[in-house]
Amino acid sequence: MPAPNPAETFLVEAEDLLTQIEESALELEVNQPGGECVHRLFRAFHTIKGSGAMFGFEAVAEFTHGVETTLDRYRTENLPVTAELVETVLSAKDEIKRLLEGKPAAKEWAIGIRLHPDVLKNGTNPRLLLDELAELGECQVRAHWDAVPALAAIDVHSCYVHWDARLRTEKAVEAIRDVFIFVEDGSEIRIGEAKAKEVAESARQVVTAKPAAAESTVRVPASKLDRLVNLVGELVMNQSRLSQATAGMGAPELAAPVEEIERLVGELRETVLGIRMMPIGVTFHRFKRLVHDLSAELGKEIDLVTEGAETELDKTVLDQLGDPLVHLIRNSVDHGIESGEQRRAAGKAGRGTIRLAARHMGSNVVVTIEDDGRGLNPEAIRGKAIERGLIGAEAALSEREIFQLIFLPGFSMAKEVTSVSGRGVGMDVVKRQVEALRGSVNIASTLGKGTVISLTLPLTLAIIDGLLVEIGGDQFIAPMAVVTENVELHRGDRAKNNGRNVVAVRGELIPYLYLRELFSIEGEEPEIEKIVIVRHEEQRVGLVVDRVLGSHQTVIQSLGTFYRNIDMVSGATIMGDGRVALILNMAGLVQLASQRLRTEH
Amino acid sequence: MDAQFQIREDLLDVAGELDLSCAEAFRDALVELLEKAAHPHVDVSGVESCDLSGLQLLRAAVVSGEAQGTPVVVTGGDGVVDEACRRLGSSLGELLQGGR
Repeated sequence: MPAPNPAETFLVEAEDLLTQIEESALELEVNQPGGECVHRLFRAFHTIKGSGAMFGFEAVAEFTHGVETTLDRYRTENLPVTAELVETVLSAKDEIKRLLEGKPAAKEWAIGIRLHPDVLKNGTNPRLLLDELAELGECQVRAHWDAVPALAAIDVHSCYVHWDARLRTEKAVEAIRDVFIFVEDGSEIRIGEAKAKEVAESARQVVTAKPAAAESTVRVPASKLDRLVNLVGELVMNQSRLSQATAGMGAPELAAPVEEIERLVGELRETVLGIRMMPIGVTFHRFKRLVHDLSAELGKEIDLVTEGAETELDKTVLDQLGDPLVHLIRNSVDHGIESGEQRRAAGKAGRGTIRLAARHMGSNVVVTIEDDGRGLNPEAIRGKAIERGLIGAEAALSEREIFQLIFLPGFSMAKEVTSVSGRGVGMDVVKRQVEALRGSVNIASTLGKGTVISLTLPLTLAIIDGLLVEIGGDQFIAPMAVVTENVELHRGDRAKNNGRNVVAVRGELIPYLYLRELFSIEGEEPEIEKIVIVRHEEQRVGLVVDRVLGSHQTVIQSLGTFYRNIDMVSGATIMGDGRVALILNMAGLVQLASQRLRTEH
Repeated sequence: MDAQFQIREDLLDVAGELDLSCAEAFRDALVELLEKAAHPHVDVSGVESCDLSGLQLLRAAVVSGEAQGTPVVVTGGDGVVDEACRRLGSSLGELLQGGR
C-alpha cells in the first residue's frame, strides 16, 4: 500500500481546521471577552501556519501568520470581541481555503467596448466577442443603442452600438485583452478594475450571464410577493402618469430624472416578476403518483414522461394550473390510453405513455399532454354532440371545431362513469380555468395514434405588453402576444363585402368585429379604420378600431365579481392620465366572431 | 431562408435571416414603409435569425418614426429578435425604447 502523501494529509486536516474556525467564529459573542473560543481559533490558525510551512504552502503560512498575530492580542489582553473581528476571522478562513485550492483571487473588471464602426464590414460578429468574454467568468453586459441614427443617416454596414461590461474573473487582464485582439485597431477597449461602488452596483444587477454556483436563499410568504407585485404595479402606473405630466410641462430639467425613474421602475418590475417565477417541475412531480395510482385502479400500464421541468412560470399561473392538468391527465389515463390487450391487438406496445412537457414560446409557456392512446374519433364526437343536442345535424364543422366540442359543458364520450372520469364535467372546467389564466387550449389528434392537448399560458398575470387602441374617446388594450398585424379598413370596403364582416389578408378571409358596435360607443367612425388582427387558438380574427396608438406596459387590474360574466373584457388598466382602459378578452371575442360567421353562413 | 420584406399598406412583414447581407434591402423596406404608412407596423414574427445590423435598423426605424410623428409598432419580436437582443446585452424593449 502506498504511503499517504503528507501534503494531501495536510490538506484534509486543514479542511477540518477551517470548519472548526468557521464554527468557532460564529460562536463568538460580540462585546464579550473571547475566552476559550479565541484560544481555539488561535490554536487552529497556528496549526495551519506550522503545517503549511512544513509542507510547502508558504503563502498560506505567511497569510496565517498575520491573522495569528491579531488573535494573539485578543488572547493575551483578553479584549472584548468586535463584529469586525468575527468578519476578519471568517474572511481569513475563506482566503486560506482559496490559497489551499491554489485559486488566484477573482477580480471584477469594468470594460468599455466601442468597436471600430467598420467592424461589421470585416466580418466580425460582436455577439461572438461578447460570448467569448462571458466565458471568462461571471459577466454582465449592457448595450447602448443611443448612437443609432435615423434611417436617412444610417450606414447599414457600420456599428453604432457600444457596450459596458462587468466581468468577475480569476483570469489575468491579458485574457480579457485577447478577446478583442483582432478588433483592437481603431476600436476603443477600456479595461479597468471596477471600483467598490461599481462592484456594489453590479452586484445589485439581476441579469447575469453566468449565475453564481451557490446562492443563499430566503423563504418569504407568497402573500408578501403578491403585495410587492401590487406595489410595483401601482408604481408603474404612477410612473406613467409622471412621464405624461412632465412631457406636457415643457420642463427640460425634469427630463433626465423622469427617464431615470422610468429605467429604474422597469428594472424593478422585471426583478420583482422574476422573483415569482418558479419551475413547473414542482407541479409535474405530483402527477407521477397520480398516473401510478390511476393506472393501477384501471388495470393499465402507463409511463409518465416529463420534459422541460425547469421551464419557469409565474407562481400564480402555476398554482392555478394544477387542477386543469389533473383533469387532462385523468382523461388521458381513462379515455386516451387503451388497455394492454387492446393496445397489443392494435400492434402497439402494451405499456402506454403519457408525455407531459413544457417549453417557452415567446412570452408564453406551452404545456402539452400527449398520449399514444386511441386518439379522438371526429365522427363519434360529432354524433355524440348531435345526440345531446349540442349542435344541429346539419352543422358544418372542421375537425378542429369538432375537437373543440369536447370542451362544451355536459359533453362526455365515456360509455360508463368511472371514479376517474366520464361524468361530462372536466373538459369545460379545464377550458374555463385555462382561459381565466389568459391562456388557450388546443387539441390535435390522430385516430389510433394518440392525442396532444396544448395549453398556451402567459408567463405572468400581473403585467403584460399591450397594444393600445382607441375607439371614439375610449381606449382599449389588446395583449401584444396575440396581435399578428394591423390592416386598414376603408369605409367603402365594408359595402363591397355585402355587409359581411370579413377582410382578405394575403389570400386568407378573416372575420372581424366592430368594437364600436360591441361596446356601444357613440359617434361616427373615421373614413379609414384599423383592423387589429389577433390570433387565438389557431384562429385569426380582426378587431376594428379607430386608431392604433402604440405599445403599452399594462398593469392588469381585476374588474371585480360584478363584471365577471362579461366575455369581451378580461380586466382593466389605469392609464397615465388617470383614464381606465379595458383589456380585451381574446377568447370571448374570437368565440363571438366565430358564432357570427356561422350565423352569416 | 433568405430575408423577405413585404409591404402591404401599413404593415411590413419581415421573414427569414436578417443579417448584414440583406441590411440594405431591409433599410429600403423600412424607408418605404415610413414614407407610405400612417401607422407603420413591422411584424418580425417570421424572422429566423437576426444579427446586430438587423437590430440597429429596427432601432433606426423607431428613431425615424418618432422624429416624423408616426411611431413604429413592432410585433412578433418576443422570440428570435428578443433573444438576439439578449445575446447582445439588451432586450427588445430596450432596443425599441433606446436604452434601459
